[in-house]
Amino acid sequence: MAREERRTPDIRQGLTGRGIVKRYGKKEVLHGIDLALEPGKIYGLIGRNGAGKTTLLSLLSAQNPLTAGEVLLGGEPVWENILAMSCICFSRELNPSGEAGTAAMKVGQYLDTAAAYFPHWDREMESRLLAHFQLERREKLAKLSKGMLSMVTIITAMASKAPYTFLDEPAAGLDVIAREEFYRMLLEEYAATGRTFVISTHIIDEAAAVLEETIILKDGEILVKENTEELVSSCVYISGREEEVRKAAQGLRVYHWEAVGRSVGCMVWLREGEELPSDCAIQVQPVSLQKIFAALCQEGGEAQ
Amino acid sequence: MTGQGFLAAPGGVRGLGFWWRQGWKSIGACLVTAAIVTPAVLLIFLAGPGLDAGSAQYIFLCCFLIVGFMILLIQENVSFQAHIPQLIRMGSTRRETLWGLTLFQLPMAVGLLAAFLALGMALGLPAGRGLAPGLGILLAGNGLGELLAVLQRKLGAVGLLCYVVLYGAAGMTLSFSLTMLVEGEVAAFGRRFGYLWGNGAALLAAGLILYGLGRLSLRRCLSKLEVR
Repeated sequence: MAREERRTPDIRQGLTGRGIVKRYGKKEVLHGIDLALEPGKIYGLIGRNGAGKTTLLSLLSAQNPLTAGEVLLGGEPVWENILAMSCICFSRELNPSGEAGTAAMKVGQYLDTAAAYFPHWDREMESRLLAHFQLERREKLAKLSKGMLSMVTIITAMASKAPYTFLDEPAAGLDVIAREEFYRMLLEEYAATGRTFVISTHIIDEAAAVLEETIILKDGEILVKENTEELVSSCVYISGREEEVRKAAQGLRVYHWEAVGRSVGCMVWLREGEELPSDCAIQVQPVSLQKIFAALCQEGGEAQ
Repeated sequence: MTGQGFLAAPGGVRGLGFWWRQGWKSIGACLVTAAIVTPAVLLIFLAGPGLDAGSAQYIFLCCFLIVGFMILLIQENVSFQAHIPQLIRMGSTRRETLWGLTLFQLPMAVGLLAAFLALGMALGLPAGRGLAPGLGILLAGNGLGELLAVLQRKLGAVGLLCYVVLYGAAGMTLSFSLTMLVEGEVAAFGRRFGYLWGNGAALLAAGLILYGLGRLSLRRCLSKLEVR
């Protein structure tokens, strides 16, 4: 078998996806996505159900084959590349009821099996997190609640010590205290190691504080990839009498018009250097990341 | 990066411990089931009229191997449907799962081959004569297991039906081959058609072909396998 020589990827060069297309049968789920993930950042990947978040992460981590395009880590192709794949951990939601192999496993067996794929797996961290979440190694995955399964995926992601770690809905099923603990843990790990995390989540406002960059996926395309703080500060919600709001929004990127009683409101996304006119009688309010996402992704959310 | 194959895979294989443990679990299941089922079948045959001790021994051997062979197929299918997607989700490469599956087959293959040889010798077959057909049967079992697992995944219910039909056919072929082997008929059959190496070579060749086909189809399937 002829084999290409592969080198250890330089993870400082980042993980890059170029022209990523994914088709399931005749349905195209991702349409030529270009994405660069820099080292040492926490990214939030948000999008509506079916937008292609899990598919994108599974392609970036070489868990699924691409229809077209390429994924490179430090310039080296990721597909079937052990050296690259050891640097990328995509800890997915566990569903023992739909997966015979997973259902038969105990927590300890699952973690031991996952550990084999990551050369820097941290046993000490694994034990600490197991104790913290009060999980037993001998418990069967099939008997765990949704929240406890999320804890197993979090332990896998954290203990893997993979420089690029993706978490798919890590907060699903976790109670509010466990979610806060998770985000605290994530920040501690990020501060200590500088690993890159990509968090796919629907609980946006809770996660917003830890996300350095936000990637919004809509209908299989990247709609937004921005610094979270800059994105939030450049978006405002304006409301007032219709003619005043329309005058204020003239020439700006406006999303999601809505009637609020006798007045109207909309979200405005200001470009660099743009400002709202000062001579309009409108109310201006800050918007949260969740509101921005909703305005951009709702029906009729296109810029007007 | 379309047409992504295994050919570009770098060296090194991770996660073999998992497959090794699964292999030993499977041989345990295989031998225990065979040991329980075969005496039961034997008892049914012995209850029938006119069965001498030699025939009973022969039937025991046949049953043991058929049951073992079928469990081999089932295990193959289970590991393909259950373990491979799970390990890919954990970060395994497709090539690693292929090597893992080979390692998984090893303890069971060695165990079944040893059982085949031991029982064959008990029936008066020289060990050397049993080796080639034994290997052939095991390779065929593994190859068919891989082939059918792929078929089932690709074709769903139709594949499952094919699986059941081929499964039965494989069992019957094995039984038929064994009958001819024990009675020395394969060699005679081979001679009539100009085969030089007789029964063992014929069975071994069939096994190799099936194993090759199984591997090829598995590789193709794995390179396109989607994990959800």
